[in-house]
Amino acid sequence: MSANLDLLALPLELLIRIFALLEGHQIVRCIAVCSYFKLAIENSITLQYVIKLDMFGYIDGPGRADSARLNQLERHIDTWNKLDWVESRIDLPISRALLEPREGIYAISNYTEVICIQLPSLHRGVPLRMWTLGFEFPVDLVEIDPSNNLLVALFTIPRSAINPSDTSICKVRVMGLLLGLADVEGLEIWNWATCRKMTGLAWE
Amino acid sequence: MIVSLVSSDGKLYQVDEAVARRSGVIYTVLEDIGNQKPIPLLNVPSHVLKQVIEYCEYHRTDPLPQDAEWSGPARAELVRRKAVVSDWDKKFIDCDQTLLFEIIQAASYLDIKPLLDLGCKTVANMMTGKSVEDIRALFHIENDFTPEEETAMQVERSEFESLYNIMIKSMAGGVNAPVTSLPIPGKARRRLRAPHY
Repeated sequence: MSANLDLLALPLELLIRIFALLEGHQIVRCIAVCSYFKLAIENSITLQYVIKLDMFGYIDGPGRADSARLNQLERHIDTWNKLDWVESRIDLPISRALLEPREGIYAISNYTEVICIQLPSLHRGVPLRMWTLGFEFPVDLVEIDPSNNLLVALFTIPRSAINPSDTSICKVRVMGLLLGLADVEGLEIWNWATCRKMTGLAWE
Repeated sequence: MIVSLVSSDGKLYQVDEAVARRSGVIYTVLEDIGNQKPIPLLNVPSHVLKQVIEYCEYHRTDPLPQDAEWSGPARAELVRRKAVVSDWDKKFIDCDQTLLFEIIQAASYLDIKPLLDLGCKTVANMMTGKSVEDIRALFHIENDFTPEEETAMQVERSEFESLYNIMIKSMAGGVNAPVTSLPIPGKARRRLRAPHY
């Protein structure tokens, strides 16, 4: 070890280890610092992967960043840029309008069951999957949050049971730790993890 | 039990076995060969070894790190932990650059992952938010690009940055913010959670 060790004297793998702790745009900036940095960054699959992820606004998933995953990501980005699409038809067991999918998964309530449909993805290697969850009560509303392993199934007494002319419905949405319930009377926000009501609001 | 370590410049250090075992390399040596002779550490000079021993003494009771991969989620975990460096560690690693890089190299050579992480995090933190010129000045790096190379890179970089800014703006609008999102100082950034790659 020299008496005056500087950053450029560090072996390549240590330099890459340091860069890997930076955000993608900061890594890109480091390319312009000097040719040794450029060499380190341009030849590291891990760093290229981090840059591409950051550029496209994604976050890292499980698994090791290898060249296969980098290729996969590049193909995915390329497909989106060109809006190059593939048609595939899925027959649904029920005929009901679908809500938006959550992270590629639809959840549809069907009396006492919830039918989940995972949309396939060519580039991410996700197969089409369909499965059913059974409940002991009729599920009126369902909302899922796959990244939090959360499924909310609600059973509501319809207002029409009290007042037949009232056909209003309740809506449910999950955002992060918060769960919102809204109907004609007002809005309630719950923390689903602690099962505490955070706030409520009655419509005027 | 006491383990004897010899630095590259021939100084002898005697440390508790539990302290020495913080190093993956010494751990292996003790398992394979045992503790009869002093262990020579050819790549670690005494002034660095002294520091490394101090770190290991302080952290002697910490659980030994798992042999996790450092890319993928492990990397994300590291980034998350970047913010939580204990006060003792902060004070310990607050040294001149030369010693900092020597500690990183020694930690890598001796296979002491937490110390290596601490060193790398410290350097990464020094770079965060700095411009190209700032980084050059900070680490006394000379710009060794030709003017042509530099122009070419600038074009590439500005393309990337404008793309990046568009993405940030479009995201600030309100896609679900991940619960586990990393706090990014100074910027209210949100990331798309949907496709985990």
